[in-house]
Amino acid sequence: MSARAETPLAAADLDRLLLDLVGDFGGTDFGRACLNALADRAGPRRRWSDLAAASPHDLATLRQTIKAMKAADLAVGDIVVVDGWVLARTEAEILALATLLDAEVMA
Amino acid sequence: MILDLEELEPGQELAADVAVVGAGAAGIALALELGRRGRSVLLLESGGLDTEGETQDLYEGDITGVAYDPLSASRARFLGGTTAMWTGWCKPLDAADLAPRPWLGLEGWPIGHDVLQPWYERAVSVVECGAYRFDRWLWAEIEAPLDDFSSEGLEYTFWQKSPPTRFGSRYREDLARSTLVRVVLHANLVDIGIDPERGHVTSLALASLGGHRIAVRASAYVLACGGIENARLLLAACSARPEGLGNEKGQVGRCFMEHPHWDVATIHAPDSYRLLDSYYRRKVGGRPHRIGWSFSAEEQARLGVMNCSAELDISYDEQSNQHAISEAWQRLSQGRFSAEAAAEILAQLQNLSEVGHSWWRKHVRGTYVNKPVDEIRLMITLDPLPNPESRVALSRDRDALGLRRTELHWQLSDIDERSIELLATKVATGLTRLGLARVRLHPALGTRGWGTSGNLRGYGIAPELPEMSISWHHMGTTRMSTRADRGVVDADCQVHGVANLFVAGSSVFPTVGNANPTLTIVALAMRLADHLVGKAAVSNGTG
Repeated sequence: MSARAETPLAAADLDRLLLDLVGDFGGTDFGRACLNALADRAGPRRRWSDLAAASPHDLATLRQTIKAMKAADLAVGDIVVVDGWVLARTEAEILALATLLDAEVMA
Repeated sequence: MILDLEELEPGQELAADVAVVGAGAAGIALALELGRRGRSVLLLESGGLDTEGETQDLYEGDITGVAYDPLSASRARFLGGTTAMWTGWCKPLDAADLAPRPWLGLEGWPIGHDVLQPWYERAVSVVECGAYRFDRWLWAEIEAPLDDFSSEGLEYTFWQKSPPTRFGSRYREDLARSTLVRVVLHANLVDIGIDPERGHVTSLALASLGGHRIAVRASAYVLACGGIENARLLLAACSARPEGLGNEKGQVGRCFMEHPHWDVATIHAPDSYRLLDSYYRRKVGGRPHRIGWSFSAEEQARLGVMNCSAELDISYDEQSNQHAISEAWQRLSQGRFSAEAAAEILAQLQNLSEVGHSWWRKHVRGTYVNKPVDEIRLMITLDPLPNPESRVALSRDRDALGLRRTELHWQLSDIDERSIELLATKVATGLTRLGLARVRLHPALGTRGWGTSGNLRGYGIAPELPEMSISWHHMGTTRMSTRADRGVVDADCQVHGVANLFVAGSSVFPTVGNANPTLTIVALAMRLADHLVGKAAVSNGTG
């Protein structure tokens, strides 16, 4: 995640918060399915940058940021269907991000 | 007066102002209305007062398209017709159902919703579904909150329930007492006599399965035999016109439509009672009502889709205490007393808090769902795109009366499939946005042919696809159109080119929306009665 250094939040801190929030999905089939369902493979990384720009400093503010992004997606019908589940694009991208982060950790 | 052809003197001729073939919802509503307005009517019914195997067999036919239940199983052929197996749900068509839909090449009905509206308001008393109310004020009355789904382009749609009214038993006494309406049971139409020069019907030939025959003469003739049989009779029952009566342009039998429905998603709600109390069935004024979603007219146009409806569907948790006690209670209240049922109730009464909660929901809150639910599903009912290749034709086989049997070749289209998918996705998006539920669509959605292949429930056709259920709504085979090359009857339900022959019933629907058809069938029948009374050709009391 090379672009992350430009944000005020330390990249490692955002990664840690994300893993705390959705890390359980990291190595799962569902996380991989989210990644595969996204036509735009750069989406999760862009989402990471958007989150970093919002500078969530703890899990609660990260949740709030994601909730607002999710609401904005659903208000305009921006959804991704993963294994039948109807997800806001934000949700799909963050779960895909968890898979990417998990792969980095494993590497 | 109720007569029986088997008991009439063979060879006689009966006459009336109007001859109506078929005593189902359309035929009975039409005949009684004509009688009330001083016209004499012969109401000719193939069956008797109850189901008879040999008569019912006249409905048998071939199925060559999308899988369908046996044709003799999806209809009832005796006084009252298929209202004998009707669930009772009533709903008018939406204004958009009757309007042109140029994005789909649909010209619309030749009459607008404003023309039908007064007849709907009269029809509700015939079908006994309560006052004419099909809007969200129903839910306001029971204080069930409704969220705003307009950002998904969705509107609410409502159904009211008839008891259901079985027309045969409900109106039998009215028919028997009437001095102007004569019902003739066991009277099967076997030939429509025509004057080839004047292009009108001169008589009907009726036969019973016992071999009795009579002729019927009238000023006007109405076929009211249902969405399959109306087309079959026009094609098969006019010996002077081998190509079929009213079929010069080859339109008879085309655009057969149904209301198939599929459970296309599972719904996972954090609070299932909260969801179901607003978005599942409720009783309003003591009567069951249904609520669903459909696209607004603007959204249908924007997306280029049909007017399908979406509803929640549920299965109860059969392992729950409340389920066990309600089953046992039902057995007892039906007089099926058993020590086991009594013991079941006593045992479950120990779970007083659960039982009390159910009782409170049912009797204090007046909710419909009063015991734990095992699964909530999203059910979509199709508003099918009229398709000329989806049709009723004639089989090579003949029935016991010598008429060629039906061949049903039902087809669904890609537009149908797409309309269902988009509606399911939009409802799922709304439920997710509002935090009411998470939704899992059936994985087959989005794969071509999941719906058009017709995975009919109970037939094991394609287990990997969502199962399709059918409604036994037979519609669209003698469609209403101002043009003889696009339909079979005109705006007054008169067969194009045959001045005194009319069709009543759902076969005249050019498009069918997502509404159960009976209310519209009755509304149109009453409108037809009004038209026939106004016609100079139908004189007063000549029968």
